[in-house]
Amino acid sequence: MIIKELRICDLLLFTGEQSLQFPTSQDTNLVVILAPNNSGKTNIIRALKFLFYGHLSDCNEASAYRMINDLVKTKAKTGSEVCGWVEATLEREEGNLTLRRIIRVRKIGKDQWAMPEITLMHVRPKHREPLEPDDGHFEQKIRTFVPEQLFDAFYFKGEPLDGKLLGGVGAIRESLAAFLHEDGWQEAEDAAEAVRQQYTREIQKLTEKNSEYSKLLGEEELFRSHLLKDQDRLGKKKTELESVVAEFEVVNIRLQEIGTGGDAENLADKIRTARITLERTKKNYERSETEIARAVGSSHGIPFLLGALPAARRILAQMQEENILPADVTDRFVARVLKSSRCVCGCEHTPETRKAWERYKEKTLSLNMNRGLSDLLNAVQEDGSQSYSRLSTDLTAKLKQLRSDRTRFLQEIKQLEAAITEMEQRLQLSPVEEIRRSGQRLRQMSISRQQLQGEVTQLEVGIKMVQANMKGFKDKLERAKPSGAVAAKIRTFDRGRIRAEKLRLLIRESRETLNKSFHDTLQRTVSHYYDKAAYDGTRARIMPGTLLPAIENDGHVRGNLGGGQSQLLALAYVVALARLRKNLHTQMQKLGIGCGKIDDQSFFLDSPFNNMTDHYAHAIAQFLDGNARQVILLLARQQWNLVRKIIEGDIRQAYAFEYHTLPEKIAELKQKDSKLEDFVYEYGGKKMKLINELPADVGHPYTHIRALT
Amino acid sequence: MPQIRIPKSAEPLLPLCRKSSDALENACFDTYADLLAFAASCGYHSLGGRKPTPPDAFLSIPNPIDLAIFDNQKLLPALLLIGLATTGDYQITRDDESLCQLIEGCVDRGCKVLLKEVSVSATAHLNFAQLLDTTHHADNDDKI
Repeated sequence: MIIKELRICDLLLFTGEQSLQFPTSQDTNLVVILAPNNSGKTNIIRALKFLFYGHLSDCNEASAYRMINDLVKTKAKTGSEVCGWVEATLEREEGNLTLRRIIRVRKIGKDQWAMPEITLMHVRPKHREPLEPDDGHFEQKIRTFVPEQLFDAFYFKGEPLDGKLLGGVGAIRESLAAFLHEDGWQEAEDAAEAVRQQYTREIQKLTEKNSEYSKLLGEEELFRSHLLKDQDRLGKKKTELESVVAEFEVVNIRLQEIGTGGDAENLADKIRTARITLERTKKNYERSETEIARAVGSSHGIPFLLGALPAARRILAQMQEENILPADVTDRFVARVLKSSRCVCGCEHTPETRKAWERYKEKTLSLNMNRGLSDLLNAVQEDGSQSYSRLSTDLTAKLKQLRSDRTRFLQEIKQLEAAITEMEQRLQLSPVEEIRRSGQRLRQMSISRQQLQGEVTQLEVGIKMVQANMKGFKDKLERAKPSGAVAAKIRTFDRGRIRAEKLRLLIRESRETLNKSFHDTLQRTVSHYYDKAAYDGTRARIMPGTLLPAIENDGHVRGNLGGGQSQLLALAYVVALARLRKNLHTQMQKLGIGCGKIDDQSFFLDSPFNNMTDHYAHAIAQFLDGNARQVILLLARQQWNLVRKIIEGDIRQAYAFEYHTLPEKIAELKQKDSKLEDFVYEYGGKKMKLINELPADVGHPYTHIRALT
Repeated sequence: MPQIRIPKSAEPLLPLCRKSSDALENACFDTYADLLAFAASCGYHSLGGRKPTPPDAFLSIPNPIDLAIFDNQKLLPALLLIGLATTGDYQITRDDESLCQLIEGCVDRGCKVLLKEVSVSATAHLNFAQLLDTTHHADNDDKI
């Protein structure tokens, strides 16, 4: 679901009506919201969730009045009503859809509020007013676009990527269950089973008097329930076996690689190439350092002098006015004119003309600094060939580029050195040790495989026996079947039982097929995103049983990898999930199964660059640009500085949250950061301060949204 | 022609000149005159248009630099600009001695500012680049 515009009025920290427009026209639309800590980054995601579902985990219907902006609540008089709302325009293929969630509440006493009224309204495209109340239709639509369980996956708030992928395994499993409509599949299977049991009960009622038939039917049902349990166990064991076999293959291939020595050769080749690149990068780095030094030296400090230009222009203009600025004439020329009886205009010299020439000679040509003044005249002009303003702009642009190049080279050097060290360590590692470890692992897996194979065979044999017994029951039941009109009814019910069972099996098979294709597609997509960005040789793996992502290295699943791998994996995973979900819904729509059509997904990411190395911060920044149609990044200063150079050029729209707070709060912040650096953000070559003191007549902190591009 | 003496405060910055005997790697300035012009500009900016106080002491080595050298190296316009903007009077452009004294004061102030902001090390050029960038944008923002 792509969001075109988000409007907020008197809600949370946002006073009055404020809006955020999100571009949607390109394949990738990256939006950045720069916001100091506590200035409302998370508020945006909370407001969006409130719009979608009408409640928040920490805010129910009774306490929803708290969401209304404090300033608005403070100004309200007892008996009056206040309201706040959030509105979003969603881009849909069939036309934009605008929905607004409104909270209205009446003040009934000091700090006392009546039960709020929360409504969802449809805003019509052309004539916005009056709003149309929703009768549940749009509420349902929203839940189809983004089921509530999936909201936290697509709209990260409170930095959930920080080592806790989507808030923990339980949350992902829940998300996946919703994603795959597991409850729906289970419901369908249960419904088919209930129909079958209903037919069985009808048969039992009909044959109550036939004790042998009734007993056989009861025994058949008992065997069947055992059979179903065994089939379930068999399915699980087969999945486990597949997983062990796959892992066995990975370790086996690795062992073969070690055996041929090709692995070491490849590694040595890679190290050689990396060293050549490293040398080249180091030279580039040194060159950029020298060029920065030269640019600084040749600047003559001109940027420091920009403030002096207006005064100098004024004085030079005055000198021009008085004709005492140096001209392109020499001292000897003036001496010749004075010796001559005539002036340069051809008239006879008079005492006045001689005096004027004497003054000119004395005030200008006798100076040592004439050439300097001529050059200065040129330098103070905005359009002069040596304009100081232009020189300063050119110089700072050049320095910016050089410093950016230097930083890039330095990062490349670090990454290359880390990669070389890691490859050298791998090369130096005794293959014997790795062979020993791999051999041990193979033995363990071989034992597990044998055990699992044994269990699978045992279950299969058991199932076959039960199935054979059940066939025997069928024959016995056929023989014991009553005759006459009852027999005809039993036949009808039995046909129904068989159809219900076929339906149940079909549903189960489809679900298993869906899970498998889901796993394969997910694996392919996540590997595509993750593997090329991970320079440490780790790989993404989707676990077949749970469909959860994990990081693997040399056939082992690695847990708690620091540095940013987990965050990259999490992002790759949710982007892959969103794509699959869209495709799944499109396919189901084509098949006529009405789950509702869903569009591309937008992602709101609150501070996704926490606790990671520069490499992964860059990898994630690069990943964000190009792999999702709409990404909205909410960043505080430190994270913005980390990725600014990488993403600034790709940003389609930027906003800043200007936070206004009490002087004592600012004093507290100043204590933490004496240089107030945390308040100053740089965007588009300009600096801006995003924390300010409240105006004198305002008593509550608030945030103002400012568009930057 | 009059000369500009090198204030004692400039001594720690001399290794930032490539011709200095103990020049640092990535030294920024080709000559002492370049360093003095840079420091004078920085000093002027720091003073915000106020007149500088004369330096307490001067170095005997390196020797004072003749104003003609600044002229030859195209540094004179910057010094004249400082003179005009500080005094607000064109008379400074015909009073070589006063101009030199004013510049010496600015150089002294500039050196002290630079030493406070920047540690004189192999990375000084990066700090100077940052300082120039910040000053340029701050002044442009003021204009806006």
